[in-house]
Amino acid sequence: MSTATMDDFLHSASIDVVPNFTQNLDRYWRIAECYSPAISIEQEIDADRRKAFITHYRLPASQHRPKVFLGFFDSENAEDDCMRVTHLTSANTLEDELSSSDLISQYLAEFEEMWVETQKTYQGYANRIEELREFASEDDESSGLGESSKEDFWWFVESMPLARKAELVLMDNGNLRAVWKGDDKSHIGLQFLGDRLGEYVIFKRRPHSKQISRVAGIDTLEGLKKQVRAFDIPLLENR
Amino acid sequence: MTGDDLPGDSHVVHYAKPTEIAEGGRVDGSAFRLREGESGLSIHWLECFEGLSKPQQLDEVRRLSRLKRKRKGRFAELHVDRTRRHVSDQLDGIRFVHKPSDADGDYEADPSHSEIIGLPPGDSSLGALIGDMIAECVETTYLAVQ
Repeated sequence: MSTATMDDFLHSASIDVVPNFTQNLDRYWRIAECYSPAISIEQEIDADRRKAFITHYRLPASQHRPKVFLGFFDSENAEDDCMRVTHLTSANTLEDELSSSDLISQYLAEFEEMWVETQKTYQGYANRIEELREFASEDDESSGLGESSKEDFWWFVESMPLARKAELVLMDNGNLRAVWKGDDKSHIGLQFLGDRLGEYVIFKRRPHSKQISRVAGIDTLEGLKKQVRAFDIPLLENR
Repeated sequence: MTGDDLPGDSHVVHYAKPTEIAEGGRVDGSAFRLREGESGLSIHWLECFEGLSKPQQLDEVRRLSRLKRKRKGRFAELHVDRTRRHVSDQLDGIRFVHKPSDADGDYEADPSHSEIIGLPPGDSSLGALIGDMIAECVETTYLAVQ
């Protein structure tokens, strides 16, 4: 995907501000990378002393229609507390541009809301991890918090910024375990083993049935996402 | 008597450490997984203390327990039959057996001490699944330290 192709989709009319954008720029980029081929775009745009962000997500009002956002902002001062988006466009796909600026503004507002919620969730996780670390330090049987497990946890949740908030516990072996629970007794438990591996437990109540399917195993974190999708459990998909 | 199955209509409590309790107070399944070298999950049989109210039974458990309990730890209560039936969907042979502790040094004898045996290894995927199923059976929790 070339820069020229991207530029073809740019509009200069829509200007908006994303508050506290650079404060969490690194984390934002990691989210964006999970959704799009943004890295190559960033590198090309960087040469032009600008940075780009691109992402898509499922809008509540138009589920099952992934949207693509492409924004450019000046990046001469990376310490700025907020960045002005100088160009913004939105399209169903990069080849299918949408031109309504109202729609774009609406999308941007929803994106900002999602972003703020995501930051709250991440802060909640960070606080909880510190609490668990403290508990473990007072427990002779605990191995303490394992750094590789913690890194995998962050990688996993940041790859799914729209997932509901999980409950976190710490196992004696030092691994974090996250549990997502649904109202219908659906349940996903995931122990982060390190090396991008996870031990999963999935409970899924079948529709119109009292029966619950239960599975457990070990898989890569990427493989686990596929398993969850196969079970059609929305806990990791929508907040 | 040691090794006897506990009555099906009785209740037991298992100590869950602060790290095993989720933010909302839910006891996680990791509390019900065997640790390395363990053959049974330590529990306390409440009805062992006949003629006492539930709070008094719990006080006895707190007094006699040899666990290093923390202020934010909780005792999770399970009903023997309901838990056994729930888990039997995935695992046969789980038993709640009486295993009273004799007096030892400064420790008094603990007639309530019991174990859940027949659990899979704690570091196995089946152990994770069974742990989460047992956690679903937790009826209530109590402060481990008062």
